[in-house]
Amino acid sequence: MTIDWNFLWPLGAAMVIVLGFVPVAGLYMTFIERKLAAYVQDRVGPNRVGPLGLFQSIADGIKIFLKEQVIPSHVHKSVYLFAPTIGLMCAMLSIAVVPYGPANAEPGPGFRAIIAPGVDIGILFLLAISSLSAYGIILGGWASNNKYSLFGATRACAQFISYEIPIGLSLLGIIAMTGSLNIEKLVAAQGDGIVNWNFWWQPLAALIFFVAALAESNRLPFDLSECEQELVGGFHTEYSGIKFVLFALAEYTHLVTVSFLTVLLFFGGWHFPGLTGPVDATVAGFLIRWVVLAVKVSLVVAFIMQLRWTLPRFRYDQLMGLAWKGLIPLGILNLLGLVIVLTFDASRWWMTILSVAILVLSGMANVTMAQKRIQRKAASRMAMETQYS
Amino acid sequence: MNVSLLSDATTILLLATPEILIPVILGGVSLFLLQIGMGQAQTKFKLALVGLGIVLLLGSFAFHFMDAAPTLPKALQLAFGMLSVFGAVGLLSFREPIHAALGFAVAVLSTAGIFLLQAAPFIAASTIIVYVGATIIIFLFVLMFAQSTHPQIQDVRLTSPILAIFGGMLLLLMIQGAISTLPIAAIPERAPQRVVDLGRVMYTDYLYAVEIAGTLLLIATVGAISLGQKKRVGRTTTSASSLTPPASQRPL
Repeated sequence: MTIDWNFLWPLGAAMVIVLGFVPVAGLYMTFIERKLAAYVQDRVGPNRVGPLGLFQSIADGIKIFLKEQVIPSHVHKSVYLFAPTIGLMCAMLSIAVVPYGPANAEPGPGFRAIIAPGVDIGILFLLAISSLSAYGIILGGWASNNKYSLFGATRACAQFISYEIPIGLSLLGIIAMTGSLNIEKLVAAQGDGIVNWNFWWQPLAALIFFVAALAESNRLPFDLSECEQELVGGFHTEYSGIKFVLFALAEYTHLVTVSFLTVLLFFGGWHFPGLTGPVDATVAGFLIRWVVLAVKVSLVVAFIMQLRWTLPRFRYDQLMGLAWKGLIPLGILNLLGLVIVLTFDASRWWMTILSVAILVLSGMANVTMAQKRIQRKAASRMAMETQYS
Repeated sequence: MNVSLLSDATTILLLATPEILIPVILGGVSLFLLQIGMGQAQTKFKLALVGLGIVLLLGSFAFHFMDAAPTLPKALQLAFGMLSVFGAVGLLSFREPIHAALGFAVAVLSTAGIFLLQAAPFIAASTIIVYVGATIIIFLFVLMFAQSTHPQIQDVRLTSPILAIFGGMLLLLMIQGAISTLPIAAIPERAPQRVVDLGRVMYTDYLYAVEIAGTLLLIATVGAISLGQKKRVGRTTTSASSLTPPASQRPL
């Protein structure tokens, strides 16, 4: 068996970058999140270790590794130790098909900023892996042998199953219009200018995708499985030290993946006004595109973190209701609009109008129904009072 | 194929070469040990024996595939095959339901791996989504609430072990015969545009089949919802809504 180094070195380099970047990013995301939280709450935040507190994450990392390994006596040991690993593994696997830097759709030699270039089922692979990522939480919650952990795990279970459906529905529009499941091709299709970004003709789908993906990555306001007020700590109550950090790292990895996907699928990836067309071979062009992508992704990450400190946590029935009564019907209506546009071979700008119309009309219908319900309740209360008084 | 089913069966039975018979007998032994293991408490040693039998079984399969020089895809295929069989054995023999469910997950995941090697990534991904992603998670969901410390005696006691062993051996014999007689499709080298091709075939040649399957699923969904709903009539409630007087008492 001969080894083709021209084929292997870009693959190895891409993998080394991801494996090196993800843990460091996880540590520094904690730092950024703490700083942002401090900003929102009018505090200073971590500022003791190093300049501006920048070495805080490194100190935390060292502390985590040196911590005592506590394994409670009542847990199912093998599954208990296995669960965080599964969680992180699934989170890292999904990055394999996500281009984390500029990558042309056409296969070619040389370095490309993606581990598995040209995967024909890119998005489907992502959906498959994200459906696996519930395993870490479920097994962790079950193996802890603790009622609160189990509650957290079952909540996560229901949440993952429910929110997979709107994600699939929201992505169908882009897939049908581009005619490919390959993420590089989906990005390349938005390359001709800012008007080609998918967001402009699929705003509703972008909203559905963002909300559902946030729920899939278990972030506040959707982190019902680790709801401190009700469940002590949720599925990771019995975890501490490095085992807990693996769960946290998986969550941050999901956050990064979601941000990358939002940018790549709806906001034109590494394209920017004046920076269009396929990726050119020069190092400068490559780096500028990378910077553009990094800035966009950082903005989305910052937005998600701000959401955490802005919105309160949902109640559990609200969470389920949002998926089944809100996002899924909206996704189906959006798909219906897309089918109409595709059948009549109309311009895709009709989709923009239809999306906005669907959102506005469903919102209005919702408000009207809520008003009627309140009026009915008031009327029946009045009637009761007149009868019994 | 112009050969009838009966003559197919006789052809298979006539193929009683050692290459086929040894795995079948080993499979029978495995089934025997498996049943003993399920009936009694000390399972680990017997499970190891079962595993050994299955490894030997797969080793004989390996001779079918490994006639040429061993390549990476062939080795991977063998590994995935072994993993899926181990997962299936785990599903049958683990006492703890959650371990059994994990065994099933391993089996399905390695089957998806075999699909990938056959250049069918779409099937692989949808297998993972449907079985490992949705089905097992719901399964686990149920299992978590049905935790029992001791397995029920009905689950481990077998009614007719001898029949089960011979049935299993017959099944193995038929599978072995089928594998050794039927032509095995070669692994395609590179298959570009697979998903597009699959979609085109599904929505042109097999349109009716797809539509009928979709309709069936829709009917099943509607049925599940209508069966799952509680009967509204005659329900005794103590909730806040019961404060509202019934319609007959309300003033018009």
